[in-house]
Amino acid sequence: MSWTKDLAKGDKVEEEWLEKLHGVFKQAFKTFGPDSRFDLSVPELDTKIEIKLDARSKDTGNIVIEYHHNKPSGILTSEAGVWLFTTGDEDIWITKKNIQKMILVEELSPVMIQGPDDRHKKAVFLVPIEIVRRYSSSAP
Amino acid sequence: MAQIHSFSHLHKICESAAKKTNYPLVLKELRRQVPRDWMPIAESTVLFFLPRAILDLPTKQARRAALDSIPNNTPVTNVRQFIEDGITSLWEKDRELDKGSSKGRQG
Repeated sequence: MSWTKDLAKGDKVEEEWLEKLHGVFKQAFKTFGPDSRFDLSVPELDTKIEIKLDARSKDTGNIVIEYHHNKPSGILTSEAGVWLFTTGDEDIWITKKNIQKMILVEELSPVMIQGPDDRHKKAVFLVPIEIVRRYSSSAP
Repeated sequence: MAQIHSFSHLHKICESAAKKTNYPLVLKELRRQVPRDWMPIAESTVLFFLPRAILDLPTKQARRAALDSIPNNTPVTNVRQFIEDGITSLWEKDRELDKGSSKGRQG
């Protein structure tokens, strides 16, 4: 799948979640642009959310957590305190602190991967989905 | 300066450099061992090794000094908070393990 298609799918998922959140939190909003440090914000809860569509995890069994893509990125730069990994079949909510805890406590080793449309390799943690579930929490 | 054969090699260098614990010394050690084009990723990767290295220091004062050595103008913002959160997570995990092993000894 191309990067633009991935981006469009990711955008769609963010729009869907924004709509759901608007049912309860009228002030919720979505950010735009490639350098956004979070995807959705819920001012009523003082919560910022990062949404990661990871449809490939159904095949690989791993959730990808990026931290460097030509520059610090992902978990190192996101301002979102709450992350949502959505596989298509499942939504996994996890706090940023718990992502960091999971990486450290489980002693995960980073790897370099390069998507077909990536100009640069990126450094990521590939985390088995059952481990991510263990550190997950309920939706905000 | 070492040539980087693989990402796991860089990973090992970062793990070893983190043991310097004083942030400027950690970077100095990375610069000594890592070719310039690998430095940005090494600086990001070492952040995942610093919490354990700092937690393993023998005294509270040494841990405090290591945290105080982190400047505010790092490429990643809030590095100090990131490291402190990591130390807390590892400390809690270590405490759980200690409790588990002392229960095991009692039982």
